[in-house]
Amino acid sequence: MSQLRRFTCVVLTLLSLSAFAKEQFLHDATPEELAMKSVEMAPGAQAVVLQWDHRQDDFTNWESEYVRIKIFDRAAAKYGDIELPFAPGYSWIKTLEARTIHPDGSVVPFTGKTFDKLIVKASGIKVMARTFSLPDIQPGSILELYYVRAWNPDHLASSHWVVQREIPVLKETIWLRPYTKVYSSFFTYQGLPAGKLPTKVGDHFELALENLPAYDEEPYSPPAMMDKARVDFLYTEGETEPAKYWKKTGDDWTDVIEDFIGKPKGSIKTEATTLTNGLTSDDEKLKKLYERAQKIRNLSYEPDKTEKEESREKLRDNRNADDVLSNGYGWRSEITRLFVALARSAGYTANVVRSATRDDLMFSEKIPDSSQLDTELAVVNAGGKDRFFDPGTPFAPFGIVTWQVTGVPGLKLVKKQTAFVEVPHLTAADAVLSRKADLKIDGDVVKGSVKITYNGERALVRRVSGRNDDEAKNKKTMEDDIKSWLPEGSTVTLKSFGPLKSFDDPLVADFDVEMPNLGSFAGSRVLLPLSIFSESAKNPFSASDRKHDLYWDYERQTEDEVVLHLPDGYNIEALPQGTSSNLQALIFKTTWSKDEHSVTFKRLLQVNTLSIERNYYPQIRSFYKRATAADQENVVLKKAAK
Amino acid sequence: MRRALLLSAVCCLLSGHAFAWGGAPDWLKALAKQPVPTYPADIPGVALLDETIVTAGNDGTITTLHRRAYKILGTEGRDLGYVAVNFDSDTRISGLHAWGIDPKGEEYQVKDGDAVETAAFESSLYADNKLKVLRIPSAQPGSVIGYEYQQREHPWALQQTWHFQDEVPMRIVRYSLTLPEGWKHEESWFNGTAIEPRAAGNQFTWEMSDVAAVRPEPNAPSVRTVAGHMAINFIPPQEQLQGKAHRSWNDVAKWFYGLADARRNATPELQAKTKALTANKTSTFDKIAALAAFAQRDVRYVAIEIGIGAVQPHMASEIFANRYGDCKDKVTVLSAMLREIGVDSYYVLANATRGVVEPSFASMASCNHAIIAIKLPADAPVTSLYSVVTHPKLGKLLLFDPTSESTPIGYLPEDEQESRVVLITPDGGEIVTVPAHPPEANRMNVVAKLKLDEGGVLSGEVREVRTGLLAANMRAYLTSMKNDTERKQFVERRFAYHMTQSNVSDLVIENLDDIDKDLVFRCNLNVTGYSKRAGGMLLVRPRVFGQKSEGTIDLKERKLGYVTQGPSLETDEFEISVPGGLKVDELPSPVTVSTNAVSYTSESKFEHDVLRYKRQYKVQTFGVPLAGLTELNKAFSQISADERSSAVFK
Repeated sequence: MSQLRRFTCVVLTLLSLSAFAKEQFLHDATPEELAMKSVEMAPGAQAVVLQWDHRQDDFTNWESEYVRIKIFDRAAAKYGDIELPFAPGYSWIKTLEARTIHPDGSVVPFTGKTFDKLIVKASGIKVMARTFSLPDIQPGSILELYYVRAWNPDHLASSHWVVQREIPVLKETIWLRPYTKVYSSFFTYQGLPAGKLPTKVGDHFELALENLPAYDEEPYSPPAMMDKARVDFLYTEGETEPAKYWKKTGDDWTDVIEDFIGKPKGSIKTEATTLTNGLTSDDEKLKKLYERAQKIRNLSYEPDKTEKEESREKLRDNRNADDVLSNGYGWRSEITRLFVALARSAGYTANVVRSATRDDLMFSEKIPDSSQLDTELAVVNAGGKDRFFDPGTPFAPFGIVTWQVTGVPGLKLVKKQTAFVEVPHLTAADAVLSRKADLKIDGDVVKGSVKITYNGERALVRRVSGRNDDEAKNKKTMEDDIKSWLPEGSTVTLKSFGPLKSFDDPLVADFDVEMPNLGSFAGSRVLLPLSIFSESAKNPFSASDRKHDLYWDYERQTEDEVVLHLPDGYNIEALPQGTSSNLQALIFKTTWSKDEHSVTFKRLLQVNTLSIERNYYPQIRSFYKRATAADQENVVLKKAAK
Repeated sequence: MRRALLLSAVCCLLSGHAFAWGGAPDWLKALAKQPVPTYPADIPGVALLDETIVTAGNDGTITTLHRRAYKILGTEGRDLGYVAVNFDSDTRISGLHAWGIDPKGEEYQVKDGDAVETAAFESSLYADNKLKVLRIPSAQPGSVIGYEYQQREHPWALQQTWHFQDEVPMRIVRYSLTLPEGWKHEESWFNGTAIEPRAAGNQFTWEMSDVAAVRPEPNAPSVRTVAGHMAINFIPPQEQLQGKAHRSWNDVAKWFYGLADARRNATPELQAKTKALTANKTSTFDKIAALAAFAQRDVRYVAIEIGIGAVQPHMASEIFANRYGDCKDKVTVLSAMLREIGVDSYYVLANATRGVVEPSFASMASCNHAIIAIKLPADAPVTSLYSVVTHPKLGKLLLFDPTSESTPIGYLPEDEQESRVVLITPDGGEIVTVPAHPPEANRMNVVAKLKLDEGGVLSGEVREVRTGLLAANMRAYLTSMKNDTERKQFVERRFAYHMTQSNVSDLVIENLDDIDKDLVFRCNLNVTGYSKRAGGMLLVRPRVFGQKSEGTIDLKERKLGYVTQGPSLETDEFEISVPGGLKVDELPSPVTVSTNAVSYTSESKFEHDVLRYKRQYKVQTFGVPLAGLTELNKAFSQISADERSSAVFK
């Protein structure tokens, strides 16, 4: 009975909405809108959103969007191609009104055909899109669209509105009536203008925004998901007060994980004892245990398998750390828990930290959503100090964790003492790339050998990305990488590289190189830039303006050393002095030296931070200008007079 | 972005699907047991078998069984485990099965019900083509995988193309054809030597073994145009199927004309618009240009292709009312308008990839684009129109592509030059060869008047003027940017590429939206640390910015020729006033480079405290054969060396 009443209510609401729509939502453009040629906030913009209204009623299961876009440039006519997704059997497009308004105020209503286009269909799931194109769009036109999408009353989903778009927005509103039975709910938001938050008005929430700039991509920006203005509305069955939520979530996780780790006994204890037998220092013992955990087959990093392949392989689920050890395989969190179990068995206080990742979104403690903490690390107290380990990431060096979990909060899961901790940042010394070259001049070609050494996080990133590739593919990737550093037209031949499957050793690659386009051979002189790995690199901050903060994935250091053996009959006529810039967050240094037979160039670039506020952009731009200029300095060789 | 989301959704759905149990068929098991030759390490896999079995029906139905098997050799070969099959309302797919045999001998099977379906063409707003995508389990190095499916269709034309060469090597490649009694067949061969079929009654089989891979290479012709293939016509005796036998371009043209001609009828609204657009134009050519601009700029590209709509244009009235349509629709509305002013015009079928349309095999399937041929009036300024061809009967025809919004009238986009197109006339049609535009049609002239101060700062004015396609392509790129800020950043990046400490101010881009005029950049440039002190010397690079060489071509494993960015003529004039009292110690030597494909001259002079650098770079052709690449590399290397050279002052 109640269901029938609810259904009737939905239908009546939609019918009334539909009838209401034309009168209420499609309205005439103002003379100012018709005459508009550009907007002050974005000169030369292709188009601007005049108005974008979202209305959503989770009680009666419908949402509507009313959109008006002013077209300034022909290229923006693409916004007249509309696709409205729906899932047959679950949701449907109920009302649809659209039109084009010309600069003279004349109206071209959309009366053409709509097409239901298949987006994807599989496993009983079908997603379609109602598709059409607005007619007669010209520069100066206003595109106007109103539609209602309804869905079955037995579905309730969280909502996500990215309010910052690829074109600027003059006005945007959100109106939401949440479903208040059974579930709790809450808003999250980022990047909203100061003082703008959803406000409760009676039984619904309202948010009105104005003058949102377009989202523009820039090099070295935080991931777009972290940076775009957005509003999310989430439903949950449980606690929504953040402190209580995280306490309960932490306690629940601790119970499950402690149950998996178990007490230090049996095969784990034996293994730990055997492995650490005779070792005295914490480093030696923990490294041995870590090595054991790293040797476990890591299912999380294998090529994606079909269910059929998985079921045929008949891998039994691991119920506890013992199983991980005896089966010899595990998912990344299981391997981490095994390492914690081994460390405890060796007498250490060890725990799991459930950590956030920052490769797309930044963790917020204010948001009671456990999916934010999706990675497990191990924390071991050794010598009175907590040390973090990442045995669940294949090839993660001892004591270095994968960069996505550095500098982020995590829940340290200790029985009845669960608390937030911060996973430490890397230092530049944890991620060193060393590039050495030994060169000579042969005719007008510079050639020689190059040794590249990836250390720490640098080796980890390289190994993880190539973990499922064979030697031929890894070799090609290596060669392509070094080619991209060297002057255009250089040829490289990889002589040796490896090891690819180690967590402990640096990854080393040796090449022979030939650089026909390095420097200038003219007249009696040879001018050679010896910053061969960076001479052709371009300043990523050439733009005079900057909208976003600057962001690096992780702290790092690059050390270059290039030795040029002088050709017979040439003398050094001039040697650059070298450069040094130190902003603390960024450090750059070059030095040049010579002896009777050779010139040596050394270069250091250190990034000691993850982010820099955009206010400092002029200094950063200037730093990179100086660095790239230094990379183009030449040693001048002159033919000795006969 | 939409495509990435779609692909990701497809992959997610495929990875999560429960596959049915089943064993591999005997033919695949037998192939799996055969030894495989040793291939270079970068070959991802080898096709053990590629088999196409075709049966033509008396009613024009074509049934084709496709069967393919791979041995996966490297990790890059995992992608061979995705099978994508096209279908639409006229093409039924049946019997889609795929199997895998992993290195341990474990067998897997998937079939039609396990496939993910998705729209086939993301570039269309709507098309009824769809894709079934299957993921074959155990697609990993060492595995043998295979699939088969049957297509049943009533094609527009009774013909097929057998691609016997692919991006992986082929061990056995076979094409079998069974024709009804009284039918004939005729073949054309491309990029390979013709072989004779084995015949048994009305069944014919062509078979090859160990066909080498043809792999994509940078700046090379498309693989489709260089890979071996056989095109075949099935020739029915019946009168009622004759319209489906496209044995000549004339046949194709007649068929297309029948579909398209009536679509060009004008409505009163279209007539009124034509009148309005041409009202103030005195010459016929100016009227043509006005109408061409309307079709090009005011009719938006939107593709809606359903069934025969993939090749048949919409009605001119519909296109005009909506102000949108695809390439053939744009041609249709323009042709209808031209009729209203008494100018004849013709559909021209083309392919957006140069070299796909083959004169010796007529096929609608080789055309994916439509442009227009306009009969030129006597008042046309023929000398400034580079896309004119002369037809023996129709006289001078102006080829024009209304889909390319930035290509001015009188020009054609690069891929339509030095290519073959199909002219459609009421009497039939024929292949027309479109020559490349001369280098002088596409010019870029850069003039910079600069001053170098004592502190090494270079500053002054820069002006760059582009015409023809050098303007059109840059215009298309600039107008795709979201706003003026992006355009400014682009210009800043261009200078920073050559001078890391450059600043750009007072940037003006003229005629960005006026495609009939030159595209002009003007700005002030300021470069810190341009000159370098080295000992007692001052080093100044006379070539301030701009790169002419297209980059050294890696010839180590090169098998294909080279495709340039097209004929053009570019000149630079840089003038740098240096502080008084400097004496030149060494100037870069003049450079002269001349090959069949490119030529280059440059010269530096120092007079009255002014360093002057002039150069000219001319690209003369689109294609350079493999044999010419050593010479081309040498030319690029000489140009690059000149660009790096410095003048030495003391």
